[in-house]
Amino acid sequence: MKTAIEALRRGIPAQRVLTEPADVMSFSFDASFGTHAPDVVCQPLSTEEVVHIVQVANAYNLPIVPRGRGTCLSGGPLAVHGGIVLDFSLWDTTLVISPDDLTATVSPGVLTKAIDDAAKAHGLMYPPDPSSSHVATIGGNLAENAGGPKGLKYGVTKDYVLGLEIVTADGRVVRTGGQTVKNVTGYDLTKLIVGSEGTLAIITEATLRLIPRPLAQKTALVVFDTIVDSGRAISSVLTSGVLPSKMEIMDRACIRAVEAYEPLGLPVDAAAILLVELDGHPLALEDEMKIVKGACESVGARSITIAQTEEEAAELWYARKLVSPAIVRIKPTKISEDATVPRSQIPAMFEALERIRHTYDIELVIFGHAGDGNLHPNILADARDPEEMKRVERAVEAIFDEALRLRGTLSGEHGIGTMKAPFLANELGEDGVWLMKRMKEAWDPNGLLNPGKLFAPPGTKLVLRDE
Amino acid sequence: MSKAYDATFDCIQCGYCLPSCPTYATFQKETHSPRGRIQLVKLVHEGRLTYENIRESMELCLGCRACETACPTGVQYGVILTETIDALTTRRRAARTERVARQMVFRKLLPSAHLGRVRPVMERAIAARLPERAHDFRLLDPLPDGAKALATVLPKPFDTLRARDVSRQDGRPAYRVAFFKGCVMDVLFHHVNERAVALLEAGGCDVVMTDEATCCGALQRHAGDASEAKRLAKRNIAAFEALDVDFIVQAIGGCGASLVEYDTLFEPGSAWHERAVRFTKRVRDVSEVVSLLSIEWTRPINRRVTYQPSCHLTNVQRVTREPRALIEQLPGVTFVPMDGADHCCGSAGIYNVTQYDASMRILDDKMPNVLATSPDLVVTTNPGCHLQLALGAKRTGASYDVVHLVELLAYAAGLTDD
Repeated sequence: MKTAIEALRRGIPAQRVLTEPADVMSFSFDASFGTHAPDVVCQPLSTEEVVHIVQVANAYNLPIVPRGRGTCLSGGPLAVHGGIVLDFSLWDTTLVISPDDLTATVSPGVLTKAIDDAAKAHGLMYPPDPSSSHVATIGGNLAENAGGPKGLKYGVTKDYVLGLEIVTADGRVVRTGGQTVKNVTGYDLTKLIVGSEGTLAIITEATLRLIPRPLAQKTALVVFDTIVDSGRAISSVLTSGVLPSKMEIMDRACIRAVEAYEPLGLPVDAAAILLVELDGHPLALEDEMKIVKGACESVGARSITIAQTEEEAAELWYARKLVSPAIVRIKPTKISEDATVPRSQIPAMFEALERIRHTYDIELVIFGHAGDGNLHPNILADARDPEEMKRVERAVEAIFDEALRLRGTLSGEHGIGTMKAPFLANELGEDGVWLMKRMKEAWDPNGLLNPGKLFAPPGTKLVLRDE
Repeated sequence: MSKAYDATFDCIQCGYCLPSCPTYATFQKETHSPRGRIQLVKLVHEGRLTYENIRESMELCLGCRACETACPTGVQYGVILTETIDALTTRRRAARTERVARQMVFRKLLPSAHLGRVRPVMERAIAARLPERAHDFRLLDPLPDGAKALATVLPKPFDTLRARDVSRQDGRPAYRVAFFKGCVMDVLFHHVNERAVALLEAGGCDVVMTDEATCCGALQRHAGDASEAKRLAKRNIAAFEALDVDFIVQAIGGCGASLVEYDTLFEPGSAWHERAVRFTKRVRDVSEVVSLLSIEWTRPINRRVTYQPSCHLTNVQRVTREPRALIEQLPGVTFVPMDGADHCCGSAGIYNVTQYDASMRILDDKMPNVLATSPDLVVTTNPGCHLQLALGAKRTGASYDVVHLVELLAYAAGLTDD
């Protein structure tokens, strides 16, 4: 290891090659579970430095684990087999908006929100908006194909990537895609790399697509007496001719947790509330909101409150913002799931989650992006209680089973990583996994790129405890 | 069970604290982030790291507590930091001279009633430009670099206040308040205390002071001397209990933060805890109380003004609205908000003495944002920030003046001429 570190330092300044115990331990975690210290952390600032690191990794057979700011909820940047963590957080040097091309060219360490902020100055927008966008890097968002509330109308990260510069497992620098919206030249490697969780190649630059920024937003809060009504309202709105930019749901447990944390006057007897945001031209929004109101009322919504000013809208969204601080008052350890189902199955998924809550005797609240079926059942537990954590592990497995039974998916936007790897074949089937493994072997024959992610050794179980 | 270890379990490692942390921004690695530090403390308690492993990371923390304001799950970072610094201090084999010096300063000098007598001597020394001249004669050489640098930006002595019209106190006072003077503050920034009291009186408050009060204990606590901090807290609690007042008012962000957290020094359920809670409920920053008063701002400022909030006022006392609202309502003020105002300037108690190089790197990262406002005046609410920003002007050749908020208010109210 000592000679490998010396070799790394021949291509990268020593102060960006970290080996002190406190340093490697500070890069041993993300926002999911487990502590896995790398042998060394490198903080590259150029493609050449990444190539150098890859060459050293090959020479010494060391795993390479790319990491942005470690906000991942599925274990993507965990060095489960040690090796080199590539910390991209310092490499935020390129952020070029080309307003005439409607593109942004970015280095991997640029914060996602910074891209949208820069686009805003030109009347443009970078829509993907994971809730961590003010902390997370675009590199991490690309690796995990991050989503967010606006996914309903605008899609997710992969829908905004025109081209990438990547470093392959053997140290070649390759450009995929290009600068144009239309591009059918060869296999679409760009879309393959986006969401591959650092297992196929290392992303060193991206060209992103921007779109015109909507002129205004309008928000409504809709209250429901039953979950079934809220599910019908989602379908009713989405077939009304209006496509909201966000449709966020909070269940009763969530509403009550927020009210207990900070009384805002939310209806604690309601089964669910839906926050609907429209965006577009201000005049159009007035009419469109009437249509949404009618669509909700036609399926029995108890009430609908439409924000008349930006301040009122911010107040409505404030309730959603308080969900995180409110629910961790229930219990401190938060297990955030993102099993996603077809929209028609949202009420069925709510029922299944209610059963799981009782069967495993766990604290479970549901919120999330109802409009695209991407629910976030969150389990609240205490990591210091091993018996409870075992029940949580079984409950999480049950959530996955139910999502798949309802023709859904294990993960809408958080990624597979280590957390969901044991369940991959349940969704893809053995042949599906085999085909993906063939891809992996073609791109990374020596298995150096982020090993231990996506594919779990047979018999691996979900473990949320430090063992 | 360690309170710090327990508190680490509230961290969900989301990383939302990262953008708020000045040391993460300046030193550019997770090791110097709140989330990193919380994880490191947890690993020490689990036997996977030693205290020595994490010493640098923890000692370079400014203790600004901006991470607590950013945290979506309410992690008590202050508890984690304080307990860990205590443990590190216990384990450190400090040089004998340093131990004696700390003992002298923290246990004897700061809490001493004699500290006040130093003031006239200091003021004369500063008026005679002794600190600068001492530099020439290398008299300051034995001092650490930080102390040497700060000696060059100490405030000039001010004239005492003009005679005040006390007739407004006739009849019922707006509030009866006790004023907390602090220790170092009352020596180096005596004029700020004087002006704070004058403002409160001009607004119709009945202001009382007590000689029983002593140093707030903040520096002792941050340096890992919890027992001394507790002793001082008890003395202050007892001193102010004896006064029947609506508020206990102070004009120092750092001391105020120490005072409002007195309850955390004692076991919940104990008699002292209960007394501490009663005490903390009455603690107010001077800007909070002045906002409640009606004072006429008669004299226009006619300057470009920006505001550097004290971290402990923002993140511990959670006072953010009042100081800025007061500045903006003064006649003739062109207020220019500073980008990244919530980032600590690197003063952080005695950090700019004990960690001088780190402190200057943090200051140098802050200065472009200060200069971008092209200020004539930078307003602060804490003596540490005041000196640090004066040092920032010196390092960059900028010509702005630094004033405490109450100096600006007192001038606008016509209570002073400078």
